[in-house]
Amino acid sequence: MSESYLDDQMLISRAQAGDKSSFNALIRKHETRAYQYAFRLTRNPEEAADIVADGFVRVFNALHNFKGQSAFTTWLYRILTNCYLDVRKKEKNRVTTSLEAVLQTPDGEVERQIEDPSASPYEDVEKAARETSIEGAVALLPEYQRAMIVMYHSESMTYEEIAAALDLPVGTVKSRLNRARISLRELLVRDEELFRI
Amino acid sequence: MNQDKAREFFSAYHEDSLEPGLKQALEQRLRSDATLQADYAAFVETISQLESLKHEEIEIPSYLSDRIATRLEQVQSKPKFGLPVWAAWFRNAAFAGLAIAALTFALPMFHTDKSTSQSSIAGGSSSVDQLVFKADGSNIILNYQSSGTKTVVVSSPLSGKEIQRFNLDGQTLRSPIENQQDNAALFKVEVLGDKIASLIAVPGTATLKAKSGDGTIQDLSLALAGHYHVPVVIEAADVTHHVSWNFASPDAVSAATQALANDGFSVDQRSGGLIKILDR
Repeated sequence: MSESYLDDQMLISRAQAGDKSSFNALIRKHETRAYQYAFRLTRNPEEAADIVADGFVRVFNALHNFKGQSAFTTWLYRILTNCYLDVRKKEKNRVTTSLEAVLQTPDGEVERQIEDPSASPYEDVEKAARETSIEGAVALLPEYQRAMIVMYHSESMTYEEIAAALDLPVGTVKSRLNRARISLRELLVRDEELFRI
Repeated sequence: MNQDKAREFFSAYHEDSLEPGLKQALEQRLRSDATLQADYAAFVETISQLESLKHEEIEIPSYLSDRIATRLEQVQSKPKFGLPVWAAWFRNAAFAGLAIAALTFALPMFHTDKSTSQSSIAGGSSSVDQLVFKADGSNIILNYQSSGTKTVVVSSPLSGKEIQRFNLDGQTLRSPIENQQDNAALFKVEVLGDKIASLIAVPGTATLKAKSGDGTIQDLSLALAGHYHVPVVIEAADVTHHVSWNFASPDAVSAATQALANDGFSVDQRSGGLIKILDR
């Protein structure tokens, strides 16, 4: 045992061989960073903790397949991003009732009134304006753009690392990040307009 | 170059990674288009605001480790994974931080008189530059007599976090290690520069009821410490070696010997009931 005990690759090799304390050490080493990333994506402590927990379950289940071709952190970011996207997808799928649906009542058929529980785009923008923060504006970006912005600007990942984490060509990452920044600029301009009203 | 095309190059231009031809064309367009110029200025302002994201302080919830452990336990309970009984594995990890945080290290007592401290070292050993452990009830006393400049480090093998560091210069270190948490806790003690470190399992305040299990040598030592309430020291090269145990014996040394009978390790009991697991 030596200082290299903390090396990711060594911990992973030991965990792959069945050493549970090494897997625990891997969790301990990365849980804070994982949570910070998840929180920056969700802005919700409960949701972020769930994403991190699910992420480590996926790490555990797939650890035997990890060949070390990328850094463990890159792999972890990919898993966490997928967990986050899955959560969002599930949320979107939850309200799937057709707007044309009719409801059978004792008084006959009535048209179903659909109430959208989520905030309207206007409310979202207003909320961001209230927060008067760049974080609020980032939260309004589409999920994929948000992940890229957080990876680059909060987590200080390089274009190459983001490309590896999202399994995209570097050029695509660069162009999508540029679009994300422009979208953000537009959101912030709208913020400023709100304050002027 | 139209406005939309020009906007596509904002990031690359800002990072100064745009190829010379495109850079020239964009600059020309910026000079002649006030709207685009304003757009670019707003873009640069946005990038500058994004810099603040790095400094956002995010509080880590106290329940995070427990949630991870719980979720992993749920996965463990599903038969499709067919792994050994590691249910307590993750749970222990969740509380490892607490256990370590609550550890009390008495202030180290440095015997500056090099000639007088030997008799107080465990078992009357006259070992110099060797870590010596002595049981004190369910706690452990760490002793180390340095021949010169040495650094003894106590850390958590789970998190790798350093708990305490002792810088010695020919002095003798004597420090108790106590665990005030419920569960037994594992610590690594090493002299910087030495190849082999010692792992010590210190019993907690509660008694582990489970008599059987499987896992690594480290897990066995935690189980022994938890069940029999004795400190266990491991001085073996391969602490990840997998073993099974069933504590049918009334005493810890017999139970450990039985568990390691065919695995290339020897077990002995030192004064005060301390159990030592060594390479054979």
